Amino acid sequence: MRRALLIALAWCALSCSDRQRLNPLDPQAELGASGIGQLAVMAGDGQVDLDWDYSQFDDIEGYVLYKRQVGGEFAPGEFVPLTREMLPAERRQYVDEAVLNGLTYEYRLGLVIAAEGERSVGEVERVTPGPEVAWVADRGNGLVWKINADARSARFARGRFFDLRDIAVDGSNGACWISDGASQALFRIDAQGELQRLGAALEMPDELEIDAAAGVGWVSDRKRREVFWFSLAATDTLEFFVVDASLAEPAGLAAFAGACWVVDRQQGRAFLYSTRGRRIVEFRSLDRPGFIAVGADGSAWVLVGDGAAMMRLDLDGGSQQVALPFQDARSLAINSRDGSVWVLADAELALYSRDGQLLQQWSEVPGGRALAFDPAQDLAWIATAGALWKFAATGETLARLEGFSAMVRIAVDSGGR
Amino acid sequence: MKYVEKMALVLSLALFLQALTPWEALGQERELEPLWTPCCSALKTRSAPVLLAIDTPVTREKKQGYSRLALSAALTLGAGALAYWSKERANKAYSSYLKSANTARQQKQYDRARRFDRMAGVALLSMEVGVVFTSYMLFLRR
Repeated sequence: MRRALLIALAWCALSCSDRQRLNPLDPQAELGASGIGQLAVMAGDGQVDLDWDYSQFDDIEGYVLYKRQVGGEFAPGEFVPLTREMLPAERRQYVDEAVLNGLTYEYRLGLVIAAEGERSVGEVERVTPGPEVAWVADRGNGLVWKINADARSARFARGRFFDLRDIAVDGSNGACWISDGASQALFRIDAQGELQRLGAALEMPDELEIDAAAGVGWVSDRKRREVFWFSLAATDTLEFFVVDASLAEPAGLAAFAGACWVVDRQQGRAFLYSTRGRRIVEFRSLDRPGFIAVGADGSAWVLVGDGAAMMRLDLDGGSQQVALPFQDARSLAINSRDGSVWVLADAELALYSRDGQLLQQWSEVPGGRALAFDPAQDLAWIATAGALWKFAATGETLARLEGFSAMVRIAVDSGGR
Repeated sequence: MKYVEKMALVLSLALFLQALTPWEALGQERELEPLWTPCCSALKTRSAPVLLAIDTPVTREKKQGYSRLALSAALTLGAGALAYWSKERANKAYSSYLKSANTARQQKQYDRARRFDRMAGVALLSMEVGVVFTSYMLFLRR
């Protein structure tokens, strides 16, 4: 009797199994069906890219993609199959070109499973295609992200850069240029995501500007205290031409039609320098100038007084100072269509007219770090410490993308090439 | 290979090597005993005592002991092999579960994996008991 009891106890002790239900398609799985393989939807210019991956399963016979337009011709809740026939089991992606920029669509994926039939998996994914693309520099993790038009998802990230300083977009081809203070080089990521290192005679690259129309780029070197310009046509090594000026602390650049505004914070001056080697206009005795942005007419707005005010610098030598309603403005952007100015502070956002009149002010922008304006779409992109916001010109929040660690710069490509 | 499988393999190998060891080398087959002649006349002749080596007849009890030892070793090896085989089958069924999109097939393969896991566990325990028992019979029991 005792022996039988012992055997039974041993059996009980060993009859447990440590196998977990980790199949993402198992309804009883611990993790649920989310995550692995699920449908990823990305907004493009006049198209929507759909990706999925259920290749680990050997009994899937095909896929059915469903789509509906939100608030459009389809009745709410009515999904329509994208294709007549189901997609084969080997298929991993689909490009839907039957979309219009600016309209919102929803997609879902159905799996056709052997001996079971069709089963819907994952969430319904929403997307708004458009031509614009945002590039974001996240210094926290050293990555440069390419953000899709609707700011609901990122297309890819490249890096890692040890000391991300600045990024700028080449509007002629959609590439993003990167300056990394820890590299004696500049980097370029093309629209498809290929990263290229361009050797440069720099010691500590800092501010960067790309003038796609003129085919030149401008970069400041914090250690050498100089500003250079270079041709964008270079393929592997960049040839630099030094800006003929004695600089103490180059703090801001803004390129315009083959020339560039250069700000020297320590000397309190700003000047417009052309690639032909001459200064077009110069302003002195500025109070602690910093971030600068240039408008379509060549006039620039620069933050002064450590962000307590901003000053307009005209090509004819005229200037206008505007006191800001906050003390810690960090960044500004100009709408090149009407000359209005967006100013971002740590917790506030303000919109000024071309002549310096306050048009609108928003508070509760926690941790504002960087700002970019897309004049083609009339949209403002704002980077806070951990989130990217997309605002309409009216101030309406269109999207918010989270998951960043410490964003420092945004560059927007309006697209439409 | 997982820990359980490795352990089963090592123990099985150890037992197998033990089973191959000749009994003579362990000193259990033959014994040397001095034998003095009991005859008084032999003493009178002052002849030197004769030391003879003779085969001691294997008793029935010892024969039974060897059989038990062999049986125990065989069962231990068998249990080890069963543990290894069951674990392999369990892994295969679990792999199949992970590749299944069909809900019924998932459940079937998952249950199968658990069943073979249990079988492997019991076989492993049996093997461990067998190792202890065989070692006892081999080294401690005379």
